[in-house]
Amino acid sequence: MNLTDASLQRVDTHWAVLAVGEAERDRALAVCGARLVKRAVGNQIRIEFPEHGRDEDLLSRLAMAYEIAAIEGINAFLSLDAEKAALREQCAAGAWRAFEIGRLFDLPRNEHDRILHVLHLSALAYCGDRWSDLRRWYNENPQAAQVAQDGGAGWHHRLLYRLFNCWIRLIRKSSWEDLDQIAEIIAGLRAEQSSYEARALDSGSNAADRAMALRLICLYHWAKGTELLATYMLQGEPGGIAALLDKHFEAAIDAAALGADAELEMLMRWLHLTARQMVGGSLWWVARAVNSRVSRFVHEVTKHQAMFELLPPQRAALQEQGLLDQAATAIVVDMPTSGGKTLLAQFRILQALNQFDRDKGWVAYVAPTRALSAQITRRLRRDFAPIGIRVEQLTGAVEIDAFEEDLLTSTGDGSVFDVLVSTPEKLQLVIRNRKVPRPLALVVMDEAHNIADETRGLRIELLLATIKRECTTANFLLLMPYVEKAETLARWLAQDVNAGRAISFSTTPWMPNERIVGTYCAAKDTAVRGGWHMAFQTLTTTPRAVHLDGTHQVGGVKPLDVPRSKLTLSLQTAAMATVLSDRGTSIAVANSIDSVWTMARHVDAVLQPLSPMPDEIRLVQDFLRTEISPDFELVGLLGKGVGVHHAGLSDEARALIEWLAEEGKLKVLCATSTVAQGINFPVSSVFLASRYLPQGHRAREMYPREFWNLAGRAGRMNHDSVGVVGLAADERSQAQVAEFVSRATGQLVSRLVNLLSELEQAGRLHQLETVIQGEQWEDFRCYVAHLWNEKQSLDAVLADTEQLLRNTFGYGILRTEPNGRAKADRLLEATRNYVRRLAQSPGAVALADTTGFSPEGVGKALAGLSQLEQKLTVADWSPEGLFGQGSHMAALFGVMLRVPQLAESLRDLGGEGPGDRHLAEITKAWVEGRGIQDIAREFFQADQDQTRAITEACKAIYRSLANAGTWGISALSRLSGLDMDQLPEADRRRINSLPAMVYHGVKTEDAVLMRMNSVPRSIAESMGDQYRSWAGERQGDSELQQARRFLRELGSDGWDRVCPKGSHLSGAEFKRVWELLSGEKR
Amino acid sequence: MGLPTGKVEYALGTGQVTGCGLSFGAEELDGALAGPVASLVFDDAGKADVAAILESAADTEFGDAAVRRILEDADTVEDWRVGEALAESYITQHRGCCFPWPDSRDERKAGSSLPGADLAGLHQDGDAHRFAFGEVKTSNEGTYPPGTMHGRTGLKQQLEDLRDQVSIRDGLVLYLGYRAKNAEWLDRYRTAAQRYLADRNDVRVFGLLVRDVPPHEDDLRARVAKLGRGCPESMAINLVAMYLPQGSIATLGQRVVGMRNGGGA
Repeated sequence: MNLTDASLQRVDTHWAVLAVGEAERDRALAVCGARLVKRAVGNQIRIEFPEHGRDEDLLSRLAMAYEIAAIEGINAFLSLDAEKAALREQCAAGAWRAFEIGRLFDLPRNEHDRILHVLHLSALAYCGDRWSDLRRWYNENPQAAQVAQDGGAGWHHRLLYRLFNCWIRLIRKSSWEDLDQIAEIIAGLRAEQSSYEARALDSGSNAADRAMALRLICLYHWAKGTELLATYMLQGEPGGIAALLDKHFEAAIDAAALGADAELEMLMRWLHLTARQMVGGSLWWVARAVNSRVSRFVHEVTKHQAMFELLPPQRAALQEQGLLDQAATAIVVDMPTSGGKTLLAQFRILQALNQFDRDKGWVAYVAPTRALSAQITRRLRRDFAPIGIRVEQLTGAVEIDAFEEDLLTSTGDGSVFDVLVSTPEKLQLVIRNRKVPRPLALVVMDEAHNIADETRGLRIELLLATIKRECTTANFLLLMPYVEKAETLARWLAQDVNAGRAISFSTTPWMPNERIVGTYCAAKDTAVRGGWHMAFQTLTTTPRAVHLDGTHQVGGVKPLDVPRSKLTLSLQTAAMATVLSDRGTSIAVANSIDSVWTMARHVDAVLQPLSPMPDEIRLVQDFLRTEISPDFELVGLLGKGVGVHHAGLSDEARALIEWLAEEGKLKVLCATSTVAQGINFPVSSVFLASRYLPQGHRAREMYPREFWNLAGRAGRMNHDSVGVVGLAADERSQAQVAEFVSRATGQLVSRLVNLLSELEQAGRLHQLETVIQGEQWEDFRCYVAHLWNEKQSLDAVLADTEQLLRNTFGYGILRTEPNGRAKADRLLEATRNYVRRLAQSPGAVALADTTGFSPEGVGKALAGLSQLEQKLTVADWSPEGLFGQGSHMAALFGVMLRVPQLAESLRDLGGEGPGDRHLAEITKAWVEGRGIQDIAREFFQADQDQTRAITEACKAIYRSLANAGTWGISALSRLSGLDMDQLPEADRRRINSLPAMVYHGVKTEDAVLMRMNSVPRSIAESMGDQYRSWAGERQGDSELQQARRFLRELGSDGWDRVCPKGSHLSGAEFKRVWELLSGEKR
Repeated sequence: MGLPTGKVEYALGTGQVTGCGLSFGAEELDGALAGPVASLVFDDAGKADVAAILESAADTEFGDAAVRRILEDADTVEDWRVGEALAESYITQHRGCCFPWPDSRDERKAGSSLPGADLAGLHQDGDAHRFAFGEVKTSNEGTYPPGTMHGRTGLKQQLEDLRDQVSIRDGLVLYLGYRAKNAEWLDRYRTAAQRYLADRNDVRVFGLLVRDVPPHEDDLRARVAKLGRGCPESMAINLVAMYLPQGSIATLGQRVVGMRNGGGA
């Protein structure tokens, strides 16, 4: 059962709560919020909230009132009777609130009272669906879980203390072993019974002995129930656990009741509910009705990841909302950040693989960025590899290289992958070119709200439309946060009202943690001359936040060494992050990379060096020294716990910075907003210098969804009770910022609909034929061209055009809206006209699918190639021919610069010198293996400082070159007139490897293989050599899989052998970096 | 036949805390022992429960021989248990109280240090109700007040705890809450709980002393005075000393068992 906001509202007006008084209730809840915040951030933020002498009594009375409400529903809680649903909810809601208040009370000093208090509070948390809050409470109150010393204690105390110890283990579930010891503890008690029991039953009073006998029987049943519960959490056995728990807890309750042992009876009642709730939320309970794959998976994650229990939203999704219902072909899950979406996806993946087992079905997991793809791959491999499920990741390059080709097309028994992790762009290529000769069972799309994104939204929508059209067996699972009316999306994908399902958690009060949201600005401080401090104004209008009124001083005077007159919003942001970093990693988000570095420098200036320096920091410092430059500014910053995260770093550097954040080793992380792209590393606080995002050369206001997706990371589920979210606002913008933060996230709108609406508003709908040729419609044209390519006949395509459009999300919506019909008709007409135009150049259209260019892009590229001075031959498409002296690289870049899909990105590459030649030189230097520092110095330094030059070089290489450069080379190789099908296999393979060399910055195929398996670039070539001699002529697995095995099996001497002389990283450290980046070990 | 109102021997206090001494004759005592007291002392429903509880105890995989031996021997009734039953019976009949479960189950007090009260229930206050909590001590000592008044588990301490420790009262109110579900007294519980939640001192506390010596106000005088100091405004405390015929306490248990087995008092 999942609690809803509505049931919380109902319990707030329960007769017992109203007896306390409405105004008193509101006051008490406000006091709770303030106390929670004070405890969490009181050392950093001076919370202005005066308490009254009677508040303590008020809190107790209110907690009691909520508990009385809960008690009314306590019997119904375990009942399956549908008519008792309201009482069940009342019990959960009352317990939720009682816990909310009770967690703020001081612990009783007396040992016995403390134990009862802690168990009672834990039970309230469980019944109120707040076990994640409870675990955090344990972390914050270590004395609560202290195990009582039972030496010399009487038998019943001994039993109580040991059982308390068992329940602490059951609640915190810190490891498999932690739970495993429960059976031993109970066995120990049984062994001690004969030594202690007789004395307990010999008081001299018959009545006292009878009372004690009943008490002992109660405790024995409790012990047995505890033992059964622990075994079930570990092994999913015994079957029929619910009935067994009922039996023992009911017997315990009866014994306590007969002995009029009020305290024990009440405790047993609550723990009975807790035990049942724990079983119902356990992974085993979910697995019981599914299939063997799921059971093996659960066995794996319980044993090795200490993951025993589902979060409330996960449980609701799986048990109540039908995530595993096979009849639901499209499911959209709207879940907050940190709600545990990945686990849900894993369950659905296992189910899909099972369903398609006979046909060797595969699953596509789509992640929006390369970094997120890598993170997801690591997680899926960690959990799936032990149960024999193969997970592969495609690189972020917009082309399919030779190794990927092998991987995708393989049908051999031992080498086929089960799950493919990819970016949307890459999956588009895979699907359109039908690369995988097996049925697609399921598409999981993470961060699927990007469907409304201005730049990539249309591409994602059309990718889903293509899959819907061409992979008719595929099911869909879309994961996204903060979306209203997600069912519209589900119905579109399912093509059937009944088979589309939206699982939404917007109506549940569960959150990974509480948070406060506010605006901040610098305020004059007269304590010192020219003094200032940060002031944080908490907002009370934001959804799902502690509502605390007032303006509160943050930290002391001048947290950064900056005069007040020089305090930009970014620096104020850095000041907030610096002060709040005392309690864990704080993120400071600015709008530009320059601002990020400036923030980091100022934070660095006021922080002390980390002491002792964590090994993790040292490792990343040495990695940066080796892979970028010994003098790279970030190395020094990390020494003070300051990280940066932006597009001017390599993917690997960013991944390691994220790892440091995950491990809690960073104090302040200065970042651009790209840090939000789905990376799952929650932090203590998030501060944003602006609510605007740079977009091209202008700025646009964030969508509320984007803001919350970023801000939602504030608060680490297992660490912080309160996450702090702040947005910079000066006096003038205060009101607008407050209004912005209180906005609802709203529904997702198709980009197609938005494009047409914008056009209509501009009065240009009649010009759609022309507009459709524009850059924004590039993906749409590719979508239409693909249909042409499939049908190859004008009549057939024209007949199918409407169906093609109906497959999209946007067109379907337009057709059903009264104001949309006209736009839909215009779109259909314009599309048909475009089809007619395509019919005039069928050759270019055919190449659009293989290159990923639009037909117009293909035309421009072909024209450019035909104007080259020399026709390109097979020899030109070899590493030496392309990257060596006298190559045509510059000319090829010249052609690429004519293709709209590539040009903008390549022009962004910056640096000095004429475009095409400059690009070619950088590419050659990169493939040649020259270091980032070298490249920065030669191509980007000019009169800039080193940091800026390195940033520019990284942006150029990892963004422009890796995306547009590799795509361009791949596409041009297919357009250059070579008949690929007629080429010998070796030549074809070599040509197909060239873009990957550019992507990875290496010059041999073996080094590419190493890079694809996350080997750092500086040792990729030598590791590749070593691999080649190991691999020889081995057969079986694909090269990618073989290479992974080689690396896994490579001993420390192998890593030492490739370690360059004078390297900052030892062989063992290179290996550690590889383990981190590949996800082999975290 | 229930317990009559008794003869008022003395009355102390006039405000929130009052005390009175009541004496009862031999016939009056016999009538009470034959009537409601027996049903309070012999919890027949409880006995049936014991059998079921013992049956299931074996499934815990703990040994059950010792607890079985104790629980199967149910025929001894201690005198103080009868004293408590008399006290409960008295305030139920004459002071508008209702205690919704048998006091005989309250055996725990002698064997543990659990916080609570011997009696927890409801008190009719005009048309309204509030919670009533009581502590009972039975003593055949000759001193005034008796030794059971003092010490860690003495009546004095227990009453002060009930007066001062809100957590004890909270626990009892919640406990009654579990029992109130579907009970005929549910509405009364709600009324009392509403009063309590608005003011947790709004309760009535009873201190009952069961004696078999000549009545003397020294039993209660000091307590009435001292409990009155610092007594919360909305709380009422009533102390009652019940004087049974001299020397009758030592045989209370025996007599009640005898009567139940068919013999006379």
